[in-house]
Parts: sequence; C-alpha cells; structure tokens
Amino acid sequence: MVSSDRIFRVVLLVLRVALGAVFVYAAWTKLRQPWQLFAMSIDAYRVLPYWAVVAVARTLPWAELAIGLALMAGRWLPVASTAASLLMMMFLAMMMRAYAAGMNINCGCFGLGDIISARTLARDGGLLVGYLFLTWTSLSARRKAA
Amino acid sequence: MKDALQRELEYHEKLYSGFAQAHFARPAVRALRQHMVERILRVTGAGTRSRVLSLGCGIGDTELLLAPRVAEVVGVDLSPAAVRQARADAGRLGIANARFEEGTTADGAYDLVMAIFFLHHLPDQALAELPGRVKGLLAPGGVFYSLDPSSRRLSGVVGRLLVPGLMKRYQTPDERELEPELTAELFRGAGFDARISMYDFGSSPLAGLLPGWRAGYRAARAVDDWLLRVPALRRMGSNFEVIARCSG
Repeated sequence: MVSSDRIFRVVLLVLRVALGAVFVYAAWTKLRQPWQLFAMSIDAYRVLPYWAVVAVARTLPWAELAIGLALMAGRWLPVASTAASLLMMMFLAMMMRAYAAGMNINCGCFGLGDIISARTLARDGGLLVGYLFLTWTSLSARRKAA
Repeated sequence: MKDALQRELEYHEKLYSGFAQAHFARPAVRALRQHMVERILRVTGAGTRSRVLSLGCGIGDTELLLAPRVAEVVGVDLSPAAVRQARADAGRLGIANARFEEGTTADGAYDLVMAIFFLHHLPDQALAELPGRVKGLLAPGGVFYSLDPSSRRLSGVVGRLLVPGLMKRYQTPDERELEPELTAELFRGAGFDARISMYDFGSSPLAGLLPGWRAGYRAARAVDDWLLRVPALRRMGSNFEVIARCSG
C-alpha cells in the first residue's frame, strides 16, 4: 500500500516541475521576440519610467528562466519558490490595477496578444496559489531539517 | 474570436463610410494635414524626384496633398472603402501621380516609406516585423517616416480624465499609444539609424476636437512650436515621429 506521505511527495514533485515549466515558458516567449515588444507591454501599465521599463524588460525574462529552472531541478527551493511567489504577487497586483482601470492592454505574461481579462486574472491567481504552496512546503522542509 | 486585423478593418470600413471624409475635409484638419506634409518633406528630404509609399494611407488625404511635391505616391490600405475614396478623390482632383491599392504592402523600391498614424494600430507581431519589411521596400539611401501617439503624452492623461468617452470615439479597441524611444529601438534593431522627434502638443488634438476652427489650430500650432523647444515639456508631447535611415 502506498503511504499518503509518498503520494504527497509525488504530487509536490509534479507541481514543482509544472510550475517551474510555467516560468521557463514565460521566459522563452519573451526571449524569442525583440525585447522592445516586452518593454512596450511593461510601458503600457504606465507605472515605470523609461529607464526602469528598459531595465525590467532586459532582466526579467532571465530571472524567470533562472527561477523556473531552479524549481524544475529542485535546487535552492526556498529562494526560488519565494522569488516566484513574490513575482506572481507583483504581476497579479499590476494586472488587477490595470483591469480595474479599464486598460485594454497585453498582460505581457506569455508573449504577445494576451489581453488582461477575468480569465488571465483567474489563471495567474491560480498559479499564485501554487507558488505560495511550494514556498510553504519548501520553507517548512528547511525548518524541519534545521 | 476575431483577430486584431479583422477588428481594425471593420472599424475603418465604418470610419471611411462617411465620418472620415466629412471630418478630414474640415478646415483645421486640412491645415493639420498640410503642416504634416511640409514637415515630412523637411525632415525626410523627399522632393520632386522621390517615389513615396504610404502604409495605412486611409482615404489618402495626406498623400494627395503630398503628391504634387514628389514624383509618385503609392498608398496602401486594408480598407476597400478608404481605397475607393482615395482613388475617387485623386481622379476628382486630377492627380495622376498618386495610386492607391488594397493591401498591406507594395512592390518596388521607394525613396520614402511613410506611415501616418499606422504603427500604433499594428498587433505586436506585425509591429516587430515591420522594420525588416520596410528595409526591403526602401531604395538605397531611402528613409522611413512614421507619426504615432506617444504613451508619455500629457494630452492622453488629461483626455482620459476629462473626456474618456470622446477619447474612445476616435480609437479602435486594439490601438495603443507607443513609447517613442522603444519604437525607434525596434528600427535600430533592424539596422536602421533611427531618431525620434516630438511632433506636437495640443494642436493635433485640438484640430480633432474643433475641426472647423482653422485659426485655433494655427494658434495652437504656434504654441506647440514654442513648447516643444522646452526639453522637460517635449517628452510629454502628443505625437512622435520616427525618422529612420538604413545604416548598412
């Protein structure tokens, strides 16, 4: 008979790899297009000055790639999962602000043509729950080990 | 679900079925278009020997003002209603060196490829591909010129706060304001030597709001010319130009 602990560990592994792959995919969709297009998506939120838009557009996809690969590989999990959760919280807050203001803009999440809607908010909200769960489990495991 | 180009086409078919013809014929709007033509000729160096391609030419109002000053103008637009109107106006005015075609591109090598209020209607993918396409349309030494609303414009912020309904009336669901420097960067990335210049502040929006008031437009244009000399204000201008030459 399979123990519930083993099932939990398998579910956690699948979730970690899947949520890591989401970050890798998000990074890939941005890195395969000219960086200026992602910068335009960021600029459309009307939150950052030009220099910050450029800095975020140039660095965020690489950060997403690093976080995604770390989650998939199971390395530096407390840091990677916390960073993923914080990024998702920030993305979701920006998207909710834009949605509430009636801004008909690309969310910039997965490349081109992804207009902010109730569906994109629900999708990213669901992902945030997953990343928060990963953060909780990885931090709990670290506490137990210490 | 309709794609962005289909929505754009439907919007412009409606726009060019009466409203645009009447609106673009008003005195302030004509004065604005005349100013644009003078500006395009000045900043691009186009002249009587130049072949010009206009992307997203609409009913050809700017192109028909430009035609007597250049060798040839070819205008392309997705909207059949706009192209029909442009051809009819060219015939009515006896302008033989202007040709209008349905579509998004044209054959040949041009000294000037221009795109007036066009780039900001393009979906992201089409915008990303445009500089490469333009490169293939330019003759050696040719220049690209575009004019589009800036995402940093003060008039947009004021308009959204004071008259949001009016702003939406003149906008398609898919159009957006563009960040000037990032737009120029797209062209630089394709090997162009590109620079941006702010075109106006309040004069073009005023011409749209009060199309019958030519004197008001001219006064606002004079104020714009002064305001745009102030660097801190210039960044908040309404519409920006990209002037791009092939650097290699």
